[in-house]
Amino acid sequence: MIDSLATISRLVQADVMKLSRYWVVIAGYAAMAIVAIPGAMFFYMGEQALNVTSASGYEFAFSLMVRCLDFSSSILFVMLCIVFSIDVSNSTIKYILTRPVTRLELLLSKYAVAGLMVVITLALLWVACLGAGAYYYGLGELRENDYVIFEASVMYKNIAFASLFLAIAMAAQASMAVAISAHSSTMGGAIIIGLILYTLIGIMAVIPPTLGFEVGSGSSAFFVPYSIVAFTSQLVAPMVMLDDLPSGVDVESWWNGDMQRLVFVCGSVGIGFFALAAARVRKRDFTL
Amino acid sequence: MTDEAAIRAEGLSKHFGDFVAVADVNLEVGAGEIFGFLGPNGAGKTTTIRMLLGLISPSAGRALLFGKDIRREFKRAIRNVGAFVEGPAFYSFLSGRRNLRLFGTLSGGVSEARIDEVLDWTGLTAPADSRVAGYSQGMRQRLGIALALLEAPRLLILDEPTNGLDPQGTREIRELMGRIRSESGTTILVSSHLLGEMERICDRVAIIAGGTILQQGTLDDVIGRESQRVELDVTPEHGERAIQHLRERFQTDAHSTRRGALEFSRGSLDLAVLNRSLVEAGIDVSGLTPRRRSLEQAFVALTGEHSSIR
Ligand SMILES: Nc1ncnc2c1ncn2[C@@H]1O[C@H](COP(=O)(O)OP(=O)(O)OP(=O)(O)O)[C@@H](O)[C@H]1O
Ligand SMILES: [Mg+2]
Repeated sequence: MIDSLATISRLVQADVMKLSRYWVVIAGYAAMAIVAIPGAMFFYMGEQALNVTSASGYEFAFSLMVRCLDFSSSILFVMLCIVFSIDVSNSTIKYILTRPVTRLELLLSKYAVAGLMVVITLALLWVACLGAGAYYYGLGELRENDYVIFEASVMYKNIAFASLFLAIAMAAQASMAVAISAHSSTMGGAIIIGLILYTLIGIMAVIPPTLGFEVGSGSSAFFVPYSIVAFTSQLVAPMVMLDDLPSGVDVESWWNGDMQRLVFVCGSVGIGFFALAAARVRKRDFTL
Repeated sequence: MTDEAAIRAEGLSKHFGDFVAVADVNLEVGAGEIFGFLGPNGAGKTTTIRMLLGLISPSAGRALLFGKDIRREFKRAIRNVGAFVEGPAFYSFLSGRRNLRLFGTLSGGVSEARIDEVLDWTGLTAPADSRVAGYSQGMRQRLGIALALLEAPRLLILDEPTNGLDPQGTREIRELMGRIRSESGTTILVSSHLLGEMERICDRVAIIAGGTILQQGTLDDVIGRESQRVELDVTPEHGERAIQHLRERFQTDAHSTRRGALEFSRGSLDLAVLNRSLVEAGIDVSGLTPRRRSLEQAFVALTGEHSSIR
């Protein structure tokens, strides 16, 4: 167990060493930052033109974050599609698999790297969005004229909760990306298949939530909408929770129905894709 | 050092669909040996090596490295192995040195001094810090060998290590293998098509074709201990007469290979008697050399004149 953890951490270390120098990854993160920063500028200019102003830096930051998450999650998804396939594509997996490293450890290390990339993405986006909010409107405590509605600590506590659930939602997408990656022989193939599936799953979200099927019977029956397949749309749920915060309404409970659904849906999807990836990697013949 | 075999393959087979790539291969490579694994293209060498390393799973049979089953005790079996399989593969956006460092990390890290050492052995000191993208084929090949040596393995498995190397490179690798074996008792399994090279370095060889081992043993076992051919050099003008003489007096299959040079099967002839007889017949003999079959001749005799891929 300890031995496995040490192996996984060495694998992660090697991946960080290599991915941090790989232009695709650098370009991906650069794109997130590059879109977020001028995005903030245009967003502000738009507000000015319409003569509306955000009530606070937080409101500005949250609206910007919703937009940034949208495109950043697809960039991240593409980057994650190469996490495993880079080694198959390059044939370098034959060196990794002829070191004292089991296939499960290798896969777990890829999941750890994916998790790390999710955290980096969220951190990068919050820095950009909160930074822009602070720049245009200022952060600190939330005030209405001279009256302090929330201390800054209340705001950051809620941002932390939102980030936790955002990370869970992104982790499910990451799990799908790594699973696709683990089934592919080339990076290009992984990215193409990944984008097709990502789009298809996204499209499922247009199925009206009233369509679905009943599970169980009688009083314990519950309704499962077909649109639940579009698990990628869960990403917006944590930001919806923050909607009223800048206008002075604190989040009642972070463990409400919406977040429970997010954890359930994204958790099952994440574990499901992990199982698919593990089954494939364990059996796969690497004739490279 | 244990007296266990470094490699033991028991009934290894691999099927790809209906195609049998490797059938019932049994190998035993003793610790400290240099073992040549020879066979024509598509014979199943790389497939066998991949099974030995656990990169692919055998359809039947098992592989043991130092007595540890590669499927069941993978980590313990692979720990002392350095491998170079089917060509080099690196992250082309990193330098050669960084590639070595990165792969070294996987088993706990290697010292910079060791990295410098293997780079030096493979002649890569100068380009070590440039990106692999700019390496020539031979440079990548050398880097692959450097990587296999990186962790001072007890068992080195090299699949066609000299592919694409210049003559100096080929000789350097041969000398390197000899040196590593004698300095650290490393066992080496090497597959190659360069039979001349193999003949000079291997203690034992196995010849595989069509997925089956045709012969396995010491070079003497495979080639034959005895010299089978004799080369004779005479004054060019005496060539025809020499052939005549050998055919008539000694019933040999003498034939000319070049002007003034001929060759015949030795059989049980006494070469001293033969030489005297030639001289007495007025033929000037300038050379008489018994020749052993080369490994190449033995190889071709076993695997056929023409290779056709299955
Ligand atoms: N993944 C695969 N799928 C189908 N057939 C395969 C696969 N890998 C190898 N083969 C077949 O198995 C046979 C043996 O291949 P292998 O690579 O072991 O040959 P080899 O002895 O290493 O040849 P070479 O000298 O050309 O390297 C070949 O006929 C090859 O086509
Ligand atoms: Mg081969």
